[in-house]
Amino acid sequence: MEEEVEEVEMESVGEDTEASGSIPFQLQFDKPVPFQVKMAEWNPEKDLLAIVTDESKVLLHRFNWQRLWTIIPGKYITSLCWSPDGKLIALGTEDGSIFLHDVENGKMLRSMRTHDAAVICLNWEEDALKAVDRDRHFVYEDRTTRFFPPPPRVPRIPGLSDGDLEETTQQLSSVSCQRFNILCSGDRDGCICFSIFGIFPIGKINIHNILLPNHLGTNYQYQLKNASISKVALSRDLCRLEVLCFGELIELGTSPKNNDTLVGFHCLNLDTSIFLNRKNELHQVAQQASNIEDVVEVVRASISVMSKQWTDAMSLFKSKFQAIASLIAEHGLDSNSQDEFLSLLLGVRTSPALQQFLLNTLGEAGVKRLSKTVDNTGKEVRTVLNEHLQPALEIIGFRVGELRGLSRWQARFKSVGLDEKLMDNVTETFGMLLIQAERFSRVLTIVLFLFQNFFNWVLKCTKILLQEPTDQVQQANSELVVVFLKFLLQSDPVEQLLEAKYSVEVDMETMKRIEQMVAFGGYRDVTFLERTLASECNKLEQCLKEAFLMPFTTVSETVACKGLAPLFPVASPTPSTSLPIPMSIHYYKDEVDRASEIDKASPNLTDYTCFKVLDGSLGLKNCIGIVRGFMSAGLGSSVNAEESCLDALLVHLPDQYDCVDLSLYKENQIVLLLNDLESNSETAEGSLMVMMQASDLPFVSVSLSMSDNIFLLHQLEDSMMNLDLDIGKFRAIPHHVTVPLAVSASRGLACVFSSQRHALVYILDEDEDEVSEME
Amino acid sequence: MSPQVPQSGIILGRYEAALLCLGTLHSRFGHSKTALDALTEAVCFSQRNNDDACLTYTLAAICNLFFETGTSRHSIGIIESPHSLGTSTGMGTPSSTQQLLLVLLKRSLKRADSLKLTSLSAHNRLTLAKFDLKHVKRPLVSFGPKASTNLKTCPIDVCRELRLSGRVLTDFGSDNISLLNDSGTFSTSWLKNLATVNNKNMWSIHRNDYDVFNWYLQPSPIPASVLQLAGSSYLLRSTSWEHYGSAPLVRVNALVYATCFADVASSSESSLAYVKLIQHLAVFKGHSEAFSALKLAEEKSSSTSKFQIRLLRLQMLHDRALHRGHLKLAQKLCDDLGDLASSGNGVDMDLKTEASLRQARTLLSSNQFGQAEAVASNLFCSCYKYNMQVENATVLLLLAEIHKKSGNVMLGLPYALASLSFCKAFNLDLLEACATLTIAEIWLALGPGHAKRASYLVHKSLPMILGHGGLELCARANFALAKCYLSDPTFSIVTDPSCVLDPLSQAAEELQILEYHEMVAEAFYLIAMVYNHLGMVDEREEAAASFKNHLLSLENANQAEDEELLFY
Repeated sequence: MEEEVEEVEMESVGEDTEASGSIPFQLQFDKPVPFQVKMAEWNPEKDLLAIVTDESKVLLHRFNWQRLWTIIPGKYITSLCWSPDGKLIALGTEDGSIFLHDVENGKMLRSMRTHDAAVICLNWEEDALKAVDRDRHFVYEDRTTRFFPPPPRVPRIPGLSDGDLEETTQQLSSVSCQRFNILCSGDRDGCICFSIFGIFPIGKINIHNILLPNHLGTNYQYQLKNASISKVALSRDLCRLEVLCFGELIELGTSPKNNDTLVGFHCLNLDTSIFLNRKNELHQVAQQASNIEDVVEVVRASISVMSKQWTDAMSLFKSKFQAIASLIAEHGLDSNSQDEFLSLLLGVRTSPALQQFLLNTLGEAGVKRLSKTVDNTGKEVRTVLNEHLQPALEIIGFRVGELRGLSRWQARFKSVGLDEKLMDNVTETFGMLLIQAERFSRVLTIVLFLFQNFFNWVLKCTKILLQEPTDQVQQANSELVVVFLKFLLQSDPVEQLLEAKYSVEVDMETMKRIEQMVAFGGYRDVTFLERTLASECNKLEQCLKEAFLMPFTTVSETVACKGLAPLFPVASPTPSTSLPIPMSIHYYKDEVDRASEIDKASPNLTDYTCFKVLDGSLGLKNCIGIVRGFMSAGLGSSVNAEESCLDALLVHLPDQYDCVDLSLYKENQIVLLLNDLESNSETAEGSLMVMMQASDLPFVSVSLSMSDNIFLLHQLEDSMMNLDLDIGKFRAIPHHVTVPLAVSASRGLACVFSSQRHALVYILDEDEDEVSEME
Repeated sequence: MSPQVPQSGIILGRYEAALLCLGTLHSRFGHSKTALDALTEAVCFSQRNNDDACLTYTLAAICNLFFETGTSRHSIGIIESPHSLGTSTGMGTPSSTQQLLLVLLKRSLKRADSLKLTSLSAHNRLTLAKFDLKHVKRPLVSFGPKASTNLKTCPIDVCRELRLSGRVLTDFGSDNISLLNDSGTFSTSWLKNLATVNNKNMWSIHRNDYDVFNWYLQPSPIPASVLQLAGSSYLLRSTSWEHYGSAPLVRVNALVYATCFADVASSSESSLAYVKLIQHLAVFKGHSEAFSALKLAEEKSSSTSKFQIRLLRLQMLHDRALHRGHLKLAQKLCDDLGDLASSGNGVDMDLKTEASLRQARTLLSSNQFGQAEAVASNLFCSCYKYNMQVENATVLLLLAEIHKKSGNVMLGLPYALASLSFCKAFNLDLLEACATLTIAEIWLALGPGHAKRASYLVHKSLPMILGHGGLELCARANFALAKCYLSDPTFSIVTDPSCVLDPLSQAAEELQILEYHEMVAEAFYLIAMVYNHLGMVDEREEAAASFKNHLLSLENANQAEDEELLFY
């Protein structure tokens, strides 16, 4: 280990001498920004910087500071993170929603309401260790693309042009599902949510309900009260989650005494190994399920669009034809419109009321116009039916079938909560929905045909009354006119099928046939034809929800707490605790070759947690704490509680500086942003950016099993290190700086913002270009 | 499905229409050569008279003829005639009858679309889908060595054609051409319905009478032919999923047909839907449920559909006889099937293939490997000759099975691999999984050193087999899985007994439903051995007792069989 450290040191020394005379961190540019910046985050793949302003606008800048787009989500944004492939931006809001935006144009692709309180932190991690394929046996292909053309999109309502939003929702589930990743979000009320691909919720835990283990040598277990999550970080192999939270630690089984001493910041180690162990299963389920949900959305939207169009046309028709009733009343007749039309059809007589209606109220042009309207509506509804609803149903059927197939592989999929019974239920409901759709299309065809026929007849009658030639008018079928008058003049079967509130009467004959079908493997629920298309669709959604809730709860239950480290106390929950304190968590590939001992397959990851200690805690001022190896503490050697120890260090900053923000950077470095308190903003030396090699620092081994001083920093007070600015690289920044500090490990960049509304981009790695060229 | 005779086309000249009818009738009665002559003449006259509609129908009729008579049996006769068909524009010399069929079909489809003959175009699309289902699309021109590597069927095309053909229903009436050209039949049915309705005095009772299936109250203005076409698309969907391997979709589509189109369907098509449903039951629920459904279907079926139901009965009886070990009965049923295949109406190739397949399978179960192989090889030759590629895959797999069982394990491997590549080319996913399983079993038979490889293959096929395979296939896969673990020298039964016991008991359960005594006995034997190893005596005894029971019932098969034979 020591050799390794020396080597690193040598490198940094060599670099320093090489760059001697020149200042480290070359300034790339200094641009004014016309607003106060609240959050900033570099894209992990490209030179793009996402910025959230104080007014919760979101901007995307290129490396050359060209602005690509600005959006105003209209909500107060509390957190920001990029998807691992850099194609999506996730925004957490005050009201607990998470939005996903497209990097290309800033359009919102998805909004999810998974939390009940402000989303404080987001972390989106991809399974980076593809070399580690524990499950080589598991080969599974999504066959859908082989058998189906791309899924249909949500139909647009004609006349509405904002179809952009819907247009892209489809692509999300298909594009982003290439590699397994998990978006993890923590909120102010202590809830943590997980979602696969950022779109399929797979788990939710409330840290108040988690029993915390003790490394304290006693039998007490702990629980957190009034906790709020400050930071979440998934390890890169997805099997561990580090949580920094503020809350009150309660010892179970003891009377609450001196509780205020246990209020403070705590660090939790959650076991999320199911994400690693059941990666393939979760991937398949999430991929199928999120696609199904998307397509079900298309079905739902299709039904509502059809319903809207049809009711519009029908209300026009009804409003025109209602005039007959009043005309009949005016003429003092004791009949209804149906009878009047029938007597006209049978050639008995043409009542004056009807004559007046046909010639004056409606007129020839009116008939033609109405006929045209109904015809066009019919065409549009048909298009939605043929191009959206039917193809969507086919794809749902196939994917549901695939998921059902997976659920039958209980040895593997039971553990992620895919339940065979529930999936069978979904399959049955889908089959019924397919029959409903077929019935609907037939009713629609018949009704449209009857309307056409009826209008032809009415037109002919009008022409006869006008004593015009009728040879231009198409022949109408009298029987169908009767059918129309009997059934369609008063009621509207199409609308009934499109609304969930109605129920349909089924005749005996059909009922008998459906009951007979049961013997042939038909649906056991024989009353399904009494439901409408819309209510069947609702039922399918309900069944899917039930089926997908199982994986959600199953996975949630497996997440358990493996370790607890109370960091530092906070005397009283002052308003300052609600302010975000600078903290950063990073997992580094182990610099020590510890992996050889344990498991060659999984390279060990060492976690570094770096945070600013709240002034006044334990009487400390102007300090930062660094904890190393917390996540591996007690994991490998959980049998022996004595061994659960970790490395930690307390660093005292020079009194003249105030730590504004800090961030962990690649290769175990820490970047600190310090404001000079003594200088005023006009002087050149306004603040400092310091980078130090964390692995070189004199860490102290701390045991978690000390029972007298529960807080970690208690043990470190004696070994506090004073920061000497000579040990790392530093650069003066001629401005008074503010949060945030945005550091990009992949590009070797840092962006700082001055309180004078300037953005400054520094290059952290001088040889970054050479490296990339060499690669 | 015979094409409708165009009515609008008759005005131009009735001669070609008459020829078309003549040709259709000839092909209906199986005189394909004379039919083709008549149809060729019809094409000539239609062209001479610019009768586009008739030409389109005639082309479709020719396609039907090609399709029904099999694409290659009469190929010699047909290939000679393309020049006389007048399809000279840009076609050059057709490389095969299949391509000729495809070109004709597309041409007919294009014309039907432009003439807005919706029914005909739906019919053509259905035929096209049927064609695409079983045929690899070969590029007419291909360059380089890479061009030929990607020969696969195109399921997306099938899906598209089926979707478009299904629109015949919703598009009905949208163009005024098809408006009520058979008002006569409609009026009759309307009057009839009026009478029934009046008798029942229900005219005013129903609030929403517009339930489509409410045929008592509502004569439908949609002609039955249109509904039949729309229904056919569902039936073909069901068939296509049998090929591609999605069990729920096979069932769901057949159910849509049986529920929504039962009234208008031709008897042969509706019985086809029932056949599919009963087969599904037999494969997934076991014999007893399937036979009770079959009984219902037999009561329902009319005389014309008797043939299909009879066929189904024979197939199911044969399956059951094989499972129960009634080999004499199985042999007799096989012979009956063979008789059905070459009845007076001419030889039905599909049926003949099936009969030979079952014959080989029966021989295989009675351990007559040489004869079984002879039958299967013969079958392969004839399938190859008639270009029945999809069947080839099945036959090859059977050959692999025969070799595997006969002890010549290594000989089976090339057959299984060949079958696998056929399956890949034709997107036969379930059969592919089945072939993978067979290969795994072959590796297993080669010794414990190959257990890892076998285990990998079994796992690869499991999602498909468990998801879409029937009871027998699932049981086989579970069995193979357990055997993989047992023969793996690095695996220790004591540490994780459940990963052997679970699949074994699952397999035993599934096989018991099928009354497959031989394999159930084997499963229980293994279970008993595992328990013995674990030192769990009670469980061991229980499994051993079950083993004995099944062995006894297998031995008693002969006696039961004689009774069955008498009954049959």
